[in-house]
Amino acid sequence: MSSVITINELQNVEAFAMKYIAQHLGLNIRPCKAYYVEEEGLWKVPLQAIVPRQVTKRDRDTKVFIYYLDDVGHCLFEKTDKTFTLTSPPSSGEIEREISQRFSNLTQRIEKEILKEGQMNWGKLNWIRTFMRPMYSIVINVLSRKKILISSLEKDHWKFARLLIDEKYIEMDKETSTYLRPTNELTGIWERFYGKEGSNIFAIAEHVIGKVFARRYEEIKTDLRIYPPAAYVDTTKVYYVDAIRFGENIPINENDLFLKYQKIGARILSFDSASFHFKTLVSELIAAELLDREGNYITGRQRIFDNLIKYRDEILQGAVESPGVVQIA
Amino acid sequence: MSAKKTGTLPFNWDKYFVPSKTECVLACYSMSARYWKSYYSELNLPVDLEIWKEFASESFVLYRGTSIRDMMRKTPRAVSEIKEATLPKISEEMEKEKVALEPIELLGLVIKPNTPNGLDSLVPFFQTKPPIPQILVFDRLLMTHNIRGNHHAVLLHSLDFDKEKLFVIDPTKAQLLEPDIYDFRLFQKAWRECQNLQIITYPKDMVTIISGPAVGIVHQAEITEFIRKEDG
Repeated sequence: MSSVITINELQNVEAFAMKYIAQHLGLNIRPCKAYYVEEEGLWKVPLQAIVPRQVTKRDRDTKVFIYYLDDVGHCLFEKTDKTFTLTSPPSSGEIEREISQRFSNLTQRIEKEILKEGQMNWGKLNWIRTFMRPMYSIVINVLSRKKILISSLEKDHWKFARLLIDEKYIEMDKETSTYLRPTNELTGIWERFYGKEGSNIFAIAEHVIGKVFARRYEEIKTDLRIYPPAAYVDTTKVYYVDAIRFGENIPINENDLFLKYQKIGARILSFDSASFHFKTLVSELIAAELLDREGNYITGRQRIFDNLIKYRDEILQGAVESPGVVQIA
Repeated sequence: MSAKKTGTLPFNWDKYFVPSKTECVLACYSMSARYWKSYYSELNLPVDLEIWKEFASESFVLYRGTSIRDMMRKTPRAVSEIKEATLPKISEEMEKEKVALEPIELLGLVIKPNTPNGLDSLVPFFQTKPPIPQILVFDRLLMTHNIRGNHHAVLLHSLDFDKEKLFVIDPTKAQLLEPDIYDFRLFQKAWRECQNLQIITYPKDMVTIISGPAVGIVHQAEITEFIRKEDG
């Protein structure tokens, strides 16, 4: 049987914004107090994101931190008769990117420190070796042949050579600008390493690439468009950011770490491939002395944690610790 | 407050209850789906929380929380009765520049957010046959600790205006298996924080919801009678 229900609804513009939020944006977004923008003749409702971040220890001791992120977007309304009409609605993607950026800004310093911590080892990791292979071959060639013709480089490889030049590991010969040769810096490394146990030309390339990766991480992602190695940095960052929030090195199982890794934003890289699993990645990070293993749990290196804990206030900027467990939905 | 006949949601705890510690909104959708399927078995609705989670998985990796549209993007279209007209893309909406907040239909079930101006406005939803499940979204941390926190969603079971209590089905309280009880005054403050958000779910064509100054319900029989009299 069809019926007609009449309800008396809130008539404030924030209530209209809330309906749009429920339908299109997601319930972690909340409308703030609206104000009238005279020039545009519209009502503006700023949007706040209230995002909980939960950190759980192995013994299920849980802390929840609630982040209040102001002005992640806004809704503009036009008042018509007795109602409000939404004009230029914010898209969920825009809001998403804004929130993601805010979290990324909060943890930027941690990321830099992690990149610095790993600089001696990044070059040994599989995905860095694979995706930055041209850089390895340039370093190996200039060391073994003393010089290489620029014209012999493949077109795409020049971008890698450019980074090595900027980092002063190789240089163009000044007279003709047709050759690339090692700088005194690179030769110095070669001499320091040469003859030491386990050291060879490949180890020197790994060392150099590790340093370039740490220093030029953003360019490698944005200009060279090499994304897979970012999984190493993001996984390490996810672990330490939570440990710092919690205030101690927390043991966490691999599955939980993977879920956290997935939640830090839209991931470009997935681990569907049978050939390379998240567990392999974590094992590599343990071998690179960025993470550690404690029985079946993953934990952090105390030295790295001690170095990073000073950024706790920065990470928790705009957040409060919740006195109760908060629902994530 | 005067005594009122408010009605109760006929909730079968054994059949409809979906526990979830972390996905309260989706658990409420899932409970609503179980409820409606018991009346309209032909409704092609998933009753498993896992499937609702799958619908919303896109939003789960993100920070915004669950939105109705996020679920619709993941809902299989082949088995749904969603009309294209109800699914305008954001870009199209932007071209139109003005967005009407029409109810959204998901697999034959209408999901409609409302912002009633008080608990009185919830009463008519108990008076339909069968009563309509109402999901109330509020700030639980504000209610319990007076700190603005994240939202929480429950299914409304009944209202007692005499004792000023509301009885809710809380998916996070699996051990209770009976309605949790909230105090009107505390709840209203926490509900107002979310602009009194109420999300109702009902089979398509079952009811028409009108926003107006009065609160009430008119059944089709009465409407037909009225029209008949008007016609002469």
